[in-house]
Amino acid sequence: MKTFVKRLLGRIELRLLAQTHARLSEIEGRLDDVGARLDDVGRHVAEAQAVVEATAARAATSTEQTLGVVESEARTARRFEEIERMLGAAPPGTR
Amino acid sequence: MIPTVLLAVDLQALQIDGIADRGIGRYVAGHTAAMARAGRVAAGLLAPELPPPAGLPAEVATAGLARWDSIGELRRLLGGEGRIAHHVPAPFVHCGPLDPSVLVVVPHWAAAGVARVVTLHDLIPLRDPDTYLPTEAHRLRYRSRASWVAAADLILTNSEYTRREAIELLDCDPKAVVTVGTGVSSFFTPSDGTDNELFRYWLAALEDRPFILTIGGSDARKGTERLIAALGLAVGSGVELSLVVIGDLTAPWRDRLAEAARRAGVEDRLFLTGAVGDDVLRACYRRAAMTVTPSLMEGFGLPVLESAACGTPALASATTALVEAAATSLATFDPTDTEALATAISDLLSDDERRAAIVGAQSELARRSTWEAVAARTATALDELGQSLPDGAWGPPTLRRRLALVGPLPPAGGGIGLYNARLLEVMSPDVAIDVVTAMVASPDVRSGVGHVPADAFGIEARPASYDAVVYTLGNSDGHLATVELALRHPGWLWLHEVRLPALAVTALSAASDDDFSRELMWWVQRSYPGRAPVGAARRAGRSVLDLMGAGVGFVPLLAERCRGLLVNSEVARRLVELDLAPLAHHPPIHVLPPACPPVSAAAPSPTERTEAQEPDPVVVAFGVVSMAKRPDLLVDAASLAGCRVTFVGPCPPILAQVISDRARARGMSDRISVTGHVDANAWRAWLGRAAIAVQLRESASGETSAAVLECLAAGVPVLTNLATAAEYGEGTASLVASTEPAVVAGRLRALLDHPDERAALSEAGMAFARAHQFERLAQTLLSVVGAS
Repeated sequence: MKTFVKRLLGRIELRLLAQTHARLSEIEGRLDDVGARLDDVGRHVAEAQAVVEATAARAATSTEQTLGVVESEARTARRFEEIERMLGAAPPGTR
Repeated sequence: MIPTVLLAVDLQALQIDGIADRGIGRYVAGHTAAMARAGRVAAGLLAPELPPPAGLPAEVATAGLARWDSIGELRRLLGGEGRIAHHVPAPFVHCGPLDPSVLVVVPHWAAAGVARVVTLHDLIPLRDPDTYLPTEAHRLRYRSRASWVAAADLILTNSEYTRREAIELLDCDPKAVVTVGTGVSSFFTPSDGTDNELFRYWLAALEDRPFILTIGGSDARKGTERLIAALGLAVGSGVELSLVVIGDLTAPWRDRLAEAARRAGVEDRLFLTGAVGDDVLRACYRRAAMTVTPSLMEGFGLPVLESAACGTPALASATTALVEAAATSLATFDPTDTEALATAISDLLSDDERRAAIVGAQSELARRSTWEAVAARTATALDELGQSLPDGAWGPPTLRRRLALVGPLPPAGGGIGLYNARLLEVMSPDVAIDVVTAMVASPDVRSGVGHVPADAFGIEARPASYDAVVYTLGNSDGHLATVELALRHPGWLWLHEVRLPALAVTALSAASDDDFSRELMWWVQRSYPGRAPVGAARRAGRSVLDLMGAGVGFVPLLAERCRGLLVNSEVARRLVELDLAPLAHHPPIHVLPPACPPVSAAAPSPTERTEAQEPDPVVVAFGVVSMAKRPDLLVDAASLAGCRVTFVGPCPPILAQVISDRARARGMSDRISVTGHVDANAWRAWLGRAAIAVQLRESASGETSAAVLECLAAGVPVLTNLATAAEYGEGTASLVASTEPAVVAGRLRALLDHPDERAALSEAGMAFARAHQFERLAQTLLSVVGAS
C-alpha cells in the first residue's frame, strides 16, 4: 500500500512537474515576445527622439543663422554709416 | 589717441554644471579675472535664465562688474563713453540639438551689431564627428555655431594648434585669429609641505608609494586605458609605480578602467579619485613622480602646465596642442604606441639628465604662462581691433525699444484678449512688439507685430532681449500658461483682476478633495507665511467667492518675482497693497488709465437715444453671465421696478435656468430674457437698443469691466456697483453702493422715469470715452514699463 501511494504521488509529481514545465516554457515564450515588442518600442522611441532632435536642431540652427545675419547686417550698417560720415555725409538723424 | 577697447564678457560658462569647474570654465574664470585686473572688463554678463555662477572670479564679483545680461544692460554699457566689444569666451556651450540657441547667440547683442570677440578652445568635434557629433542634428547645430564663431571680428585661441585649426577648418581670416595662449593659476606652486595631511586623507590607500598622475574623463580620447596598459609594461620591467586618475568618471567608465587594469595586471595599483577640488589636485601634482597626458587630441592640455608649475615633470602625447604644452620633444611620446609610452615613463624615472631637461623646459614655460601674460596679449589684440574698425562701429547702436506682451488674443481670452488686441492696434510703430500667446498659429495682429508661441519663449526668444515683458493676467485657468512664464522670466504683471483664487481652483480642478485641500493650503501658507487664513480657506474649499471672502488673493506669490505690478484702478491698487506682505518692501504698483473703444460717429446722440426708446424701454446686462454678476439681484430689482431686462452675452445653461426660475417666481417670465452668445452685429444692435446698461458684482476684486467701458463709448447710460467706476469722474456712470434689490430698483426706476438724466449720463459717458482711448493707455503703458 505504502509503495502504491508513493508511486501514485510520484506520478502526480511528475505530471505536475511536466505541467509546470509546459507553463514555464509558455511564459518564457511570452516573455520573449514581450522582449521583442519592447525592442520594437525602444526602436520607435529612438526614431521619434531622433526626429524631435533633428527638428529642434533645425529650428535652433535657423534661429542662430538668422541672428548671425542680423548681427552681420547691423555691423555692416554701422560701419557703412561711419564711412559715409568720413566721406562728408550728414550724420544719421539729420538727413 | 585711440580709446581703449573694453570687453563685455559673457560668463554663462560659469553657470553650467560640468563646464564651470572643468578646463573651459577654469580658462574663462582665469582669463576674465586677469582682464579685469588689467582694467579691460566693462562687465561680466550672466544669463538670467541659468543657475547662479560657480567660481565667479572675485575681481568680477566684488568689483561690481557682474551684471545680468539684458538689453537694458547693453544700452547702459554702450551708452557710455568707452568702446565695448562683446566677448564670448565659451562659444560652443548649449550646442546640443535641444539646447536653446539664443543663449549663446544673444539676440540683443546680435541686433546691436557690436564688435564680437570669441575664444576658441578647440574644434575636436569637427576632427572626430563620429564620436562627438553622433547624429545629423548634432552636426547641424555644431556647424551652424562654428560658422558664427568664424564670423567674429576677433578670434582668440588658447594655442597655435587651435589657431591653425580655425584657419584650416573654419576658413578664418588668419589676421583675425590671434593666439593668446593659456595661463596657469598662481595657486599651482611647488610643494611647501602644508598639504601633506590633505593628501594622506584623500589617498590613504596609496601609502606614500610613487605614482603617475593623469587627469581623465569618461572619454576614450583621453587615452587612460592605454596609459594603464603602459603602466603594466613598466611595472613588468621592474618599475615601482601606481596610477592615480583624477576626474569625474561614469560607472561604466570606472568598470572599463578597472578591467584594463586587471588585463595589465595592475589592478591593485589603480586609484580613481573622481572629481576633486583644486587643493587636492595640487597636492597630487606635487607628490606625483610624473604627470602623463596620453590624450589623442587636446586644444591645449592644461594639466601639463599645472604639473610643471608644481615642479613635477609631465609627459604628453606628441599630437595637437600637447606638443606646445609639453615644452620639449623629450617629454612627448606617440599616444598610439603603448610600448613607447612605457619606455617614456621608465626613461623619465631612470634618466636624471632627461628628467632635469624636461623639468627645466616645462618650468620655464609654466613661469611664462601667467594669466597676466595672456591678458596682455589679449589687450594688444583688442587695441589692434580698435584701430582696424572705424569709430562708428563702437558708438551706441540705434536699437528700437522692444516689448513682449504675453497673454491671450482673440479668439481666446475673452475680455482681456480683446483688450490686448485693441491695445496692439494703437501701439507706436517705434516700438518693436512681439506677442507671446499659447497659440501655435499666428494670431490676427497688425503687421509689424511678431508672434512667439509661449512654448518658445525663453528658448527661441530670449525674455532678457526685451526692454519690457508685460504679462496680462486674469482670474481663470486660461491664464496659467502666462503665470508659469511670469514666474520663470520676471517682467511686469498686468493684473486685470487682483484677487486670483480662481487661478488655483481651476488649476486644481482635477485633484481629489484631499489633494485639492493639501495643495491649496500649501499655496495659502506660501502666500501668507506665518499668518495664513488656513481655517477660512479650508472652509471655502473650491468656492472662488468664499476664498475671496477669506482674504485669499494669491498676489504675493506672483509679486515676489516681478519687475512691477500694473493695475487698472486705484481700487485695485489698494486691494493689491492689502494682499502683499504688510510692512515689507514691494514692487512698484502703477495704475493704468481705463481705455474705451472708439466712440462711433454713427452712434445715436444722447437725445436721439432717449427719444428713440420704445414705450417699454429695456435694461441690458452686457457680458458673460456669472453668479458673481448677481443675475438674481437684477431679476429681483427688475420685478420691483417693473422693467424689462435682457442678459446679452454667453450664459452657461445652469445660469439660464436660474434666471428663468427666478423670473417665474417673481411673475416676470415674459419680461426677462437671455440671449446667450451674440455676434458683433447683434451686440451693436443691443448697444443701440439698451435704455440702461447694468453691471453688478458680488464682491470687488478691483476689476474693470470691459463691457462698462464699451457701453460708455456707445453712449449707453450705465448703472453699476463696480467700485472702479467711481474713479471715472462724477456723473459718468450711475453708482449704486448697495446690493439691496429695493435700492437697485429705485435707481432703475428713477433713471427710466427721467430721460434727461439718462441723456446726461450718456453724454458724460461718451465724453469720458473720448478722453480715454487706447492710444492714451498705450502711451502710459510704454512709459511706465520703460519701453518708450
